[in-house]
Amino acid sequence: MTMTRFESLGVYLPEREVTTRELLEKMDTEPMFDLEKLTGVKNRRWRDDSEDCHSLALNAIERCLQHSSYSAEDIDVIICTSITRFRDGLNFVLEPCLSSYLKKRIGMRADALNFDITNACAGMFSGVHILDQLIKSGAVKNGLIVSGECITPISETALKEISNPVDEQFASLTVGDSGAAVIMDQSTSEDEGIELLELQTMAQFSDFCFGMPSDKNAGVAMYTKAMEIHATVIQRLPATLGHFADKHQIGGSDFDHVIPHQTSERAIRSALALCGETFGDIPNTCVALDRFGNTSSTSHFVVLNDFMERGEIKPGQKVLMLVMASGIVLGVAAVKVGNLGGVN
Amino acid sequence: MGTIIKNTAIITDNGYSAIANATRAGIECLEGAGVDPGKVGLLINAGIFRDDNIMEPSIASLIQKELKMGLDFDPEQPNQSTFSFDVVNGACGFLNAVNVADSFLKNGNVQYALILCGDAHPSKTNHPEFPYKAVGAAALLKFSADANKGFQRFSYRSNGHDQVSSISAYGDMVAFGDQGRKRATLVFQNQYLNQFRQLNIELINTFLAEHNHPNIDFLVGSDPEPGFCTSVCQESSLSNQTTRALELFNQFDGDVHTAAPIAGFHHLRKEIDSGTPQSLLFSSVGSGDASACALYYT
Repeated sequence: MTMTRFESLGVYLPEREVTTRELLEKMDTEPMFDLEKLTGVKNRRWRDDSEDCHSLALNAIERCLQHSSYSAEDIDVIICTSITRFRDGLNFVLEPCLSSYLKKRIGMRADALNFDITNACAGMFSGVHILDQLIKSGAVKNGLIVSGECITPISETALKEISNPVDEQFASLTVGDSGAAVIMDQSTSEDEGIELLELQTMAQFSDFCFGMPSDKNAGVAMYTKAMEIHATVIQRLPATLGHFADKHQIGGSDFDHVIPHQTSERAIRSALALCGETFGDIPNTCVALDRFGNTSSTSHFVVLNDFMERGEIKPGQKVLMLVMASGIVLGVAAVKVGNLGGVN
Repeated sequence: MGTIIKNTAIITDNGYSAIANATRAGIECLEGAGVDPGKVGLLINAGIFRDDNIMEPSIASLIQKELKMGLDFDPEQPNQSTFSFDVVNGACGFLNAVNVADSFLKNGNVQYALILCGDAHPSKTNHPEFPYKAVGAAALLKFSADANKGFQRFSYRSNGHDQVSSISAYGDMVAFGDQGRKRATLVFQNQYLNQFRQLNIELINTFLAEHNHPNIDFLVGSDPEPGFCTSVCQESSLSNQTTRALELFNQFDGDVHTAAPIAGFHHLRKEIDSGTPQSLLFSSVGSGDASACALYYT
């Protein structure tokens, strides 16, 4: 079966930077741990008052289309994958879906398909999985996956509500705002494409992290059982990667880089260190937590874009993407990247 | 070769939690089909209202846990897993979800896909301002080797770029204060049903013309007010045929919103199970505004 590929990529990051130190200074309760040292998050981008999920997504799409050989009229489907779904301030939109606004705004055809999906931090990769299947079945020729993630409102709630040193809202202080968009189509060569992609939801642990409105204040909050999530992932990642390696006859040495979901640098490195036995040498681990924090559903694409812009990931290189999200969704993708920042 | 509906279930008497209703529909649907939950590789929730306005994780993953489906990575059976997520697109969500599931099934990626629909007020109560009937609906899909059966030809259309959505629903996380888990604002534009009708008819007419006017026995369509689906049938080119429109609003004493396509199919089960080949036109219309349709052959 032919591969699909990432044809072009666009990332938008709000200009304003907020440091972890600035955030912690606003809090009455000191964490029991050094948040910056533990997570590696020093900075994150922060939306300005006029920005919401819709505008973050739109900015990312505009950049993606600039890098693409397609125009908006050529696109067969747009899938918006944001968790936060805010439009016009902090209105959490249930219907119409965000993609219906985006589709009209960028001038897509009326008969092009649009829908949103929501799947926590696995959102964009779930979109990639869906679009990969839609293209392979012949349902569409190409498509656009986008997420505008306006997630710092959970930090604002955490600052107001954290009341004990091991509060479930501490993870809310690690997030940053962003938008990312990727256009996919059928690959025309063996030199670029999504070679393998597997995602599964281990639903036994679906109640380990909830993002929802706060019941104490206006705004939204995220309640994370961080230790339980880390333990669950660390116990399953070696076997999951081992199975992936055995099934497809590949291993760590086949990859130039690994882009894990960006949660905490220490957690990421300790989890990957345990995978050597089942997966072989772990490739260069790409982390941008220090500058962007955890951008939730966009994280892999924010990091991919950053590392490609800085020349650390080069077209033609092979990247292992590790998906870890509330659900708990665990997934692996093997991707040969092309020239995502220029017209393909 | 096409994706067929192996079984359906509708729950109408289970209270006002969207998760609980969809869960019960899922259990009934799988038990009725005699399919082990572990064999379902894809689970999609296409209901749009979310209990407590939960944003994360997916509602599908919370239901998946209740259905005891793909609970954990199993080293003994590493290939038996479930992937779940929510599709959000108002009344068109079910047909979008089928479109996606059809690709997963066609590509041999999964053996069964389960789609869940139905809405309830985020407060999980019988809220007086909530305009939809709280139901849970489930449809179990599988792939059929028979080329002439199942879903064929998906089509979709939005209204114009300068037109706004005729209805909207959202949670204002500032104005709701500490009640954000229990509230939703719903806005209906004047004439929204006329807008929906016009868009729905436009799509159906184009679709039928593009496919040489196939014979349609039943129109399984959105029915947001009594007689809506019937009027679409009468005012579209389906009026040239003997197509029967389903009257779901009257049957359920209200609009079952995202669950309408499954509710319609479920209602026709006796006729479908009789063995006489039937042709259905699934058709949805809703916020966005958008309309979707697909043919289905039994």
